[in-house]
Amino acid sequence: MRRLAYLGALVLTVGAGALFAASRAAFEFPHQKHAALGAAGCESCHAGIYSGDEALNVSADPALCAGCHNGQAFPEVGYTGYTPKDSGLKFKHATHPKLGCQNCHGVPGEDGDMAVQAANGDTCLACHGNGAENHFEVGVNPCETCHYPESAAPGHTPDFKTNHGTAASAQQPTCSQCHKETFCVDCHDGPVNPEMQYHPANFVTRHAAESWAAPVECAECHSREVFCRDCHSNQGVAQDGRQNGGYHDGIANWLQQHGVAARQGMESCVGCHQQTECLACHSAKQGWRVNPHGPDFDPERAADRSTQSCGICHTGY
Amino acid sequence: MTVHRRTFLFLIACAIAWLPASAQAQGIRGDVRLNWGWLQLQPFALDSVLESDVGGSGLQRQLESGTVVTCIDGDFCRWYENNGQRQDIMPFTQDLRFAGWTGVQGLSFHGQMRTRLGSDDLWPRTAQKFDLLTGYLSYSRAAFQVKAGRMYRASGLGYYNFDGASIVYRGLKWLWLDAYGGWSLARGVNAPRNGSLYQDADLLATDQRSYLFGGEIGFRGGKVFSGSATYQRELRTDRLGLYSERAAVDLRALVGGWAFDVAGAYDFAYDNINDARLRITTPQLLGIRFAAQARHYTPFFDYWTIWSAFSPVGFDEARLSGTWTSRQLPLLVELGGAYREYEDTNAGPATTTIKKDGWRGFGRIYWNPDRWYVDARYRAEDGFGGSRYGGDLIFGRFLGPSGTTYLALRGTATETLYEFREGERYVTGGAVEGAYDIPKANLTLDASLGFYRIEDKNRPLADTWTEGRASVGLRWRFNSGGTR
Repeated sequence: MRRLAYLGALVLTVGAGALFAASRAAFEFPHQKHAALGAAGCESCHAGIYSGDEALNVSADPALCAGCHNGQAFPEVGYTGYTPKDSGLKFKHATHPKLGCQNCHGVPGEDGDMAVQAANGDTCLACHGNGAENHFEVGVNPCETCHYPESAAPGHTPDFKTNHGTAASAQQPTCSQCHKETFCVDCHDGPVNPEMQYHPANFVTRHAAESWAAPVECAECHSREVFCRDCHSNQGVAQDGRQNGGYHDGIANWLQQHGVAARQGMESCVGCHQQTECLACHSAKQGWRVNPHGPDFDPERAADRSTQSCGICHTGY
Repeated sequence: MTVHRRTFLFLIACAIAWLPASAQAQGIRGDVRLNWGWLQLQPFALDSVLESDVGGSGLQRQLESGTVVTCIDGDFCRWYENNGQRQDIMPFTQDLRFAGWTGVQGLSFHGQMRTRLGSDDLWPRTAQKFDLLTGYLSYSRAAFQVKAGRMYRASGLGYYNFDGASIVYRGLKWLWLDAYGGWSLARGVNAPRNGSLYQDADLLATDQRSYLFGGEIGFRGGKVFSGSATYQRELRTDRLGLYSERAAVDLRALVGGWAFDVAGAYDFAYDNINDARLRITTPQLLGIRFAAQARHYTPFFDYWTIWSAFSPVGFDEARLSGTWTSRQLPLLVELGGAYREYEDTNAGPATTTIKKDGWRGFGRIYWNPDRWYVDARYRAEDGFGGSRYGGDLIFGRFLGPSGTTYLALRGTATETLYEFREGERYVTGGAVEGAYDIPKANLTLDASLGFYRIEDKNRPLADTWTEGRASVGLRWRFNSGGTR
């Protein structure tokens, strides 16, 4: 039932969101149909483009359009102004006056001042060439050099480092258009590369809260048994090297309460405890024979996939 | 390494070596990265006395000095103490990454390998001196790509390494199919599950390697919709059981500047939804963008362990964040927060004092006037197990034309509270860090040096001390002229 609720909520939200978003139709001015206006120069419509004066609006003033599209000479078009799509780049037309419009906006193979299209990144890199061939390599050129921090690529929001999983899986071919095949390895394989700075500085001394809260899955990159337990043992906070008084001295009657903590934070438990330590009490073969299974545990289903873990505590497997 | 796997990797190496002369590398590019680190830790030292010298009985006893010790009858009573000594740890890693293009159209080879030196046993995995992270041949045409060697799969199930082969078919514009298989490697270790790394870490570590098999189907509906569904299982090499059997679905819609991300991962053996999330990101309006996320999370554990049989529970989390990017000022402001609640554990007494929820809040201001930048970050993580409040303030300046050369000062202050442990920890400190880019030599150097005051309060064996940390990195890029 709970799963159905999840599914229903997902479908409804996605559907409603998609319908709402689709209703926001994009506007695109047909420059080619207005070729005759080209002779007057781009600035005749895009006033303020070189002065950088936002008040003059770099897109055409609706009054200009209405001069011809008045319902008599030409049909009315209902144009009320347009806010250009945010490129996310720190680019300013006003600082590039010598380039000329066609250098960046021209359509290859087509003539005329009105044969224009949106500029693309290759144009920028033709001049801003330092590191251009490594444009997409993180660390060679910080994205912020040219991009506002959230716009290094479409959908790369500031928290994309920790929230890119779905996008990376859903549109894998798109990622590979910019990123090398080994790109994922940099962060995802073993000790974090210092260059990537995925974690804040000196994370070792302040990682405890985040390892409990799991804003991301630590085991995605770090083996709980090898990576976490190694260090905890060396530092005297694992079971095998615990400090005087034990680690769990902040909670009274820990033994009675550890079940709640264990089920809520099993991942963290594994960072210090070996399986054998739990089996001292939670085994059908030895100790106190305390049943560790929750009410929803389905033994047949689990045994169908792996009898190995069953056999650790139960005979007959 | 099994005989089969050795043979397989040997054949891959032969395939590269025996490429006809015309097909030898036409271009190779990559980089070499050296990273040296230094940090100090203050571990606890083990001490012990003969069990017969300690009065009383039972596992936990007390010395005359009041020190609590753990005793084994007829053996020793032991305890850990803080002797104030520091340990210097100096891990050193060298990475080589390369991608080469042969004279045969579409045929390329890729690799990344790492060596680890220094600080044996004090830093995780330094005993694993050499690591082949990836190394494979790729034959890619418009409609398909075939790969063989050591590679990885990144999907909704996470990141898995394996030695084997994969084939991707992308002949249809709106659809791609991916099948892969081989000998799997443990996540986060890049080594077999039955290898010494696991055997040393767990007395009940499995003695069997495993095969990995999986398939993925993905679609693209223009620029608007995309998605994939993945099924994957890991089978013991003796075929007596599985180490994992999971499936994942990931969907993304980009409509009118809105982004809708839906994801789910499912564990077949324990009937757990490991991950379910819906994330909606709004378009940027007046420089402001919001992201809202609902998430359910339950951890996944390999089937060779008992952990999933202990019925771990998950949590439901709602998260909201917003960013404002000013176009008038070189300024980015980010604010956000999340709240989570754990499922009922059905364990322990009803009077348990353990927290069953948690929240986090975070904020960032990034100001980048001209060549200067100020980056202030704060994060509060309050919840079950531990809480942390603190942040970093970075003040820096880009020095070179590319933005890669910079010098910065970093200050940090953090308070950590431990729910299951008496006492709290305060960390305050600072570091100077920078990088120097030499474009003509394709070299980048980076370095940092910092000191952090660590103060444990209300804690037995507490001691205030200053930890030193430093790092030096060098990266050299090479490119013989090949292109992708």
